[in-house]
Amino acid sequence: MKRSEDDILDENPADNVLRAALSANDPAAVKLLWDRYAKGLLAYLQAMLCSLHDAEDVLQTVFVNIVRQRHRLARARNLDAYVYRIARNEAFRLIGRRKKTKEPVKESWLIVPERNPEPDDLAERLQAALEHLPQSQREVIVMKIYGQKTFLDIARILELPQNTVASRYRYGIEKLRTLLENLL
Amino acid sequence: MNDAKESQNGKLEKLLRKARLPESSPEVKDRITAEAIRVWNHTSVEQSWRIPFLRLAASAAAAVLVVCLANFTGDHSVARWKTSGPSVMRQQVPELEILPEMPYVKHLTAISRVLPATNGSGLRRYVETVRKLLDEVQQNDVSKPTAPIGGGSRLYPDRSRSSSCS
Repeated sequence: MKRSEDDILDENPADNVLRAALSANDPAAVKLLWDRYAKGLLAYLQAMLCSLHDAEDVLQTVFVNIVRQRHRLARARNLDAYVYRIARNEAFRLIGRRKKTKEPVKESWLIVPERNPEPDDLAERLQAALEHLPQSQREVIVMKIYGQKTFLDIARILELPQNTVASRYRYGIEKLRTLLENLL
Repeated sequence: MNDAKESQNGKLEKLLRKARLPESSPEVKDRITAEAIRVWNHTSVEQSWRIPFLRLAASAAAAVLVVCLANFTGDHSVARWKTSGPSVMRQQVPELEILPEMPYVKHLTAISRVLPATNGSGLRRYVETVRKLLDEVQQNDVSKPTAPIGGGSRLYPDRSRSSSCS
């Protein structure tokens, strides 16, 4: 009998440990949550918000919300999707606030190691090109390139069909190719 | 053509991978985990179950408030069109109930249905006709004192007769 992806996901040992800690109301679950999600969430939030500081602030709100909703998270069908949904909602809330105040975001959220022989302004140019992309394409590219996630992982997290994720990635890359033509 | 595009896309991905996203500092980790644990300790599981119910209750209360306010403002805004005195009261006089059955009232009704155009001469003619009719009715009343306008009724027994029987 063929097993669904959700069944496989539920059998993930890390999931079970986390669920057990959440169900037991053990505060040690916060550390497990951090180890598992902090890096990926921060990358995702930076892609959404184009700012490290805002991403860190939202990450704190996300963790607080996760803790408040821990009983629901423990019973969630897909832990990753649940956590990223909270992050997405919080990010959109901040984007909405920004639109109201009309604050421009001028912050470096992409870095290039100094030993790299590439032009000095590579990070700036990549960042500017990424910021030109629609948010839906940018989040997929950032998760794939910087979060090192597969299309399947991203599809599960965003609760989208894998083909949609792949096409968003492809369209995003096409746009970036046009924007960064002189660097290629 | 496609191969060239693919190779350019490959180059682009490599270029993107040369950059990276900054990671959070240990202070940020400490701050966030400390805040999360503080919230964890302040919200028991029972409390976190209560939150949706409290939200539901608050939403219901807000909905009731909105409906009440809408009713109040609705009444307030139409108040000037309301009659100040008592509205139409049902006449309890039995004679009024038999009025439509009376021949002259039928006639009046028939006339009013064929009311001519609302020009001056038409109205004058109409008023004269009505006046003539009322005069006839008055004369009839004088000639027939037991007519049903004031005293008796066709529907109700004669009071004088009924009282004499008792």
